[in-house]
Amino acid sequence: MKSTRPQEAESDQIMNGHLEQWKRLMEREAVPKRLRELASALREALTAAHGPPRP
Amino acid sequence: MSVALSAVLPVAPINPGHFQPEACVDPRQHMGEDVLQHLPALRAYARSLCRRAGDPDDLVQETLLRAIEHAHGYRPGTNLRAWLFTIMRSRFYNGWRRLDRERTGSAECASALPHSQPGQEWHLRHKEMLAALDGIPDHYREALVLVAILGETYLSAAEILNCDVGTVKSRVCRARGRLRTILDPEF
Repeated sequence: MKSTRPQEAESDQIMNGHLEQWKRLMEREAVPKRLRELASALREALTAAHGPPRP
Repeated sequence: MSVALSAVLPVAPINPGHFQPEACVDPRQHMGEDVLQHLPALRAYARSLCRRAGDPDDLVQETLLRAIEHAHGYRPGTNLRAWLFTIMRSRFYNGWRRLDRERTGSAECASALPHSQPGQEWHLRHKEMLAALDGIPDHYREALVLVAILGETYLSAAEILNCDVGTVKSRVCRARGRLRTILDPEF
């Protein structure tokens, strides 16, 4: 027998763990300075285009 | 060697303003968001798109440049991150790879380097997951990364991927099946 539902559920759980771990590691990875600077520039551009943030 | 920004901006017309997903209550909600917080997600999606086709960070850079250029096209109160994903995907499928040869900076450029080096464990696990994701077809991988990893809704992912919600669900399901087989060959 190739697989059963409980096996599939267990395997899904393991895979979800892999995906979640990968996501957390991605979030912890350092971002290059050039991208952080461009992100700041985008925020300024959005503010210039649509007005200042609400208090 | 660096080139002028105008030289790397896209020639092919795109319309980043066409996608305006899920309006929020506060029309200026995006102003409270820090765009910086979306960078990890943008890098993750770029990696899922690029695979071996170029530097994902260059695609993120292109995306941010396009977003700055089209900032007026963003509708305040809508999903900023999904808007950026849409620009990125459009950019990727509209000739970004051609521009890869002309990209600004280089691998040795100081500004391109992370301000801390990843640990060995991170490097190994990251490589393992990237290899597994590389093993599934592009359209499955994109859907899986958007929904299962980055947490986009099926509706939002459908708009980003320009397909039906049912198609997204099907792709995510198939992607999970393929990934499960790769990560757990005994299954």
